[in-house]
Amino acid sequence: MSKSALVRLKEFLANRPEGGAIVGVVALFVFFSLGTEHFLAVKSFRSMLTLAAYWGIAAGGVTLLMISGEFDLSVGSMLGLSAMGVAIMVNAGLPSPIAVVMMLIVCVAIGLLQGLAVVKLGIPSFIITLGGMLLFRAITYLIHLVVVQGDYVRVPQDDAFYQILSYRFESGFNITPLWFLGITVILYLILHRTHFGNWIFATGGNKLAAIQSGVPVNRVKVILFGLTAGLACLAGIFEMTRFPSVGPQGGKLLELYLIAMVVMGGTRLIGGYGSVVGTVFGLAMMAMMKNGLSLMGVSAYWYNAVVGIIILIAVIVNVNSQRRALGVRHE
Amino acid sequence: MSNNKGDWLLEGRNIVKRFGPITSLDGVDFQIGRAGQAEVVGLLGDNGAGKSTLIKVLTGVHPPEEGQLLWEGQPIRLDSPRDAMKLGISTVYQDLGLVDTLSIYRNMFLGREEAVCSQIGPFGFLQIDKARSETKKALEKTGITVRSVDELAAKLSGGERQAIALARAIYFETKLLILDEPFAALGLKETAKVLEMIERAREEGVSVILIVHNMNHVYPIADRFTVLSHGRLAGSFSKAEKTFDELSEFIISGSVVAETD
Repeated sequence: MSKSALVRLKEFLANRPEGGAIVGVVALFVFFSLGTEHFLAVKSFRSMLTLAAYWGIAAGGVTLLMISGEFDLSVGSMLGLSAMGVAIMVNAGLPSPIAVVMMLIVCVAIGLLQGLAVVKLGIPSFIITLGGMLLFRAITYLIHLVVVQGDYVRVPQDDAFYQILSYRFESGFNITPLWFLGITVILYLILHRTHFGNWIFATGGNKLAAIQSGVPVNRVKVILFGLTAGLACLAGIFEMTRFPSVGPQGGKLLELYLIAMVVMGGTRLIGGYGSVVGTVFGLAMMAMMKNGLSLMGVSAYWYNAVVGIIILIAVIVNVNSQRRALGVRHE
Repeated sequence: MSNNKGDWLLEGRNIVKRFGPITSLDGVDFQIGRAGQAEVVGLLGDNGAGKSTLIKVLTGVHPPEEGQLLWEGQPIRLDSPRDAMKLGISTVYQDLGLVDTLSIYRNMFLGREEAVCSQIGPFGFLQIDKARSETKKALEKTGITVRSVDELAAKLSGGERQAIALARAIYFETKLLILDEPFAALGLKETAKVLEMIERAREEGVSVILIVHNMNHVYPIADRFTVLSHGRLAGSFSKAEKTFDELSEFIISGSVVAETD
């Protein structure tokens, strides 16, 4: 009676949101390992890990928000704003922990406001956060222009608090991936092991049924907008502390790459279905592409073309497997 | 919770509900469950008579503009479905009860997760094993078999969905069960199964409000009938007062009377 291991593996992959992403990660890994000689080197692994961790801190919030059926296009701008804001506050003499906490409070408040605007005004989050994306980027440029006259803002590399965020070990590895791991574990527990996580899935899966089951769907969404903004803020600060200076363009277009990674990880674009673990695989795919293609010496134009095609393939695979898992009754 | 003799389980007095310029309910009285006696009430009337609106008032979806709700004789306010659930009012909407993207056991406890949560400090964590085994038990009790409680609701047939939504409604100390077109998507066998579940619920002391278009389904099982017409109460009868034919005719003529006045 026992099925062969291969059949069981296939069933496992087909019935999990992250199934396609696992296959993708393996495929890209094999491809780049064979295709470039330096892909398997420690240095290459290190840069992928750092990159994925930086993206991943913001991607966790994007995942939960997308499962609840909403988008946040202002993530990249929020990230740029927080990096610039904290750097300037610290240069003005504010202790870095206080600057970070203040920035976090501001970002979460902005996120909650955007969420409130979405649920109270009934305007799609796509539009509200598109406004936020343009506005926060403009504010970042304005601050940059007015406060430092367009010069680069220096980031003190010996700041003790910054060291906690992005300490670099002897081996060259950075501590940020550990923060990413911690945040991911917490988000995983929230999503799959708490009633709030159940509400997130229900809100995105069938809003009416959720309301009638007593789920406060608007509150769920507003909280997730706040969480997403807070995590974007953190990602910006982590990234800022790694470099000696910061400019106003940090995180540009990142919101779209984050959405791509989350969807590549098997989360359904319209909500209700997905996983934090899948997003980790999505991050791994993107980091491998970025690193592997540059190791192969692919030019910037071709790089975007290849990434675009792989995103398309991954999304087509995932949408099909979601259709199988969820049936086509309501599509 | 005292239940004095003569008090209804749930009573609505002079309920008025408007949506902009449209008056959906114009001073409707409604009662169910006298003196702790469980009963099945069929809520009847043509399309647009106000049945669904009345249900939404009774379940806290739409608070009324005027009128008073009483629960076991005490005046109450229902501002959300959650308020109604806390009192023991469970509602199963036509094909809206379950979240397709959630597993059966997660649907079972949706909105009432505290029943299977363990508290660790300030955080409540779902006990997955308990949720699964409780779901199995509840489904067995109501005579429903599913392949696995881990299956997504999207994979279920209309009948299975209805049965699971019902099992869920009954599981949580329900006193009043409201069913909106429970047979709409069901075949003959599944309809018989749901009818049986309704009867079993009444035996266990649960009152039931049934909104059903097909008189053949509702007449045999209901104890009383409340007929709405154009947002008003057209009449309320026990089964002894009207035969099947008389009731059918009343619903049609009732509409006519209301239209002309």
